[in-house]
Amino acid sequence: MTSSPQPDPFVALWQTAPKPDTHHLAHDVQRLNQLHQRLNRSILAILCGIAVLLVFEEATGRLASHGILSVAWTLAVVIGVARHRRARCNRFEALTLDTVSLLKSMIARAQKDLFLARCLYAGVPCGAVLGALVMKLAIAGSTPSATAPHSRLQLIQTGAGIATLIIMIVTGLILARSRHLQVKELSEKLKLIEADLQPNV
Amino acid sequence: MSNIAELEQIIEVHAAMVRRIASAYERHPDRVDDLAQDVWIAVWQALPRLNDPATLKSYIARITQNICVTHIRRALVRQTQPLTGALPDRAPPIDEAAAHAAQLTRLIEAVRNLPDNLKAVATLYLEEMPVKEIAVALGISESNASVRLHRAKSALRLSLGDPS
Repeated sequence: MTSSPQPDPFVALWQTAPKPDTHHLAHDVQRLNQLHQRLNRSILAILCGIAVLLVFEEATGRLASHGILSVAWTLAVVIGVARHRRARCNRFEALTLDTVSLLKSMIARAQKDLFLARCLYAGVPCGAVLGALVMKLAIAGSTPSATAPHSRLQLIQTGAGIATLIIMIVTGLILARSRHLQVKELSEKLKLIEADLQPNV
Repeated sequence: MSNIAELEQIIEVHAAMVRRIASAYERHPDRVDDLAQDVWIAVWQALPRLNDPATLKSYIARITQNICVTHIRRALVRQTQPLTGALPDRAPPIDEAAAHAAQLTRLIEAVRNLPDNLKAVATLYLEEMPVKEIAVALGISESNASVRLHRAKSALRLSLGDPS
């Protein structure tokens, strides 16, 4: 005589949880995805707009960087887009990994982000000071006509530059803080799992 | 990317499982909804990489588990409710349906209060995944998964008694 195994009462009880209302869920997911894509396209359009502006400024001679700035900006945008796409693919692939591997990959990514954030808040002011010194030296060695002030335009440009610097430093600080917390919490979680993997447990 | 009709079908079949796992990690219903939405976005995007449709359930369970585990770090900062003493009262309920609902609430709360390493095993076990698959999903050995499962069951029995 054979009898089917008795189901675990916890499993049986767990499975009786009421079914959620999923009426609009698929459309909400689709809408969120579209919103995300739209946001990405808007950011890309702004970055491309800045590139066009730089090209225009350099073509009209208002920026004396001889095309270097616009080429550097365009290259940075292209590299950024490529990296963003790759990171997005990796993020979704990582979700199908096992939990231990996912935690390890997330820690590695958070540590990389932490380093980049530190570069942002520490490297940006250093770069700005260095740039200002180089400009001063270049101006000191040039003819007086090249150093003539452009009044209001120059003031606006300086103000915008300083504002951008402050924004970058603050963003770097916020990012560094959140990534530091992330590294700490994920490492603790991984440590807990690995400690439990000891054979004497 | 798969079409919306396919996603609708998958959601219809597996939404309850996703919600049950998510509710083991989050107490607030709105946050459970947010988690479920995150899971479905990830499932939709990861679906074209699924090679064997027969493993869809464990594939979704694994994605849900991973999203919940990585989500908890944000919840830790916001969580203000103490975990101890959160179990509902054991007072006798009015009728059978209410008794069942109370028992289910207490089970969800008990799973939620398990330590992370036991909770991960317990939620997948309660979703009827075999120990071998749980071990693969979590990246641990089968014997370790068995030990954790045994501990998780003991902890649940300690908080709830035997529900049968």
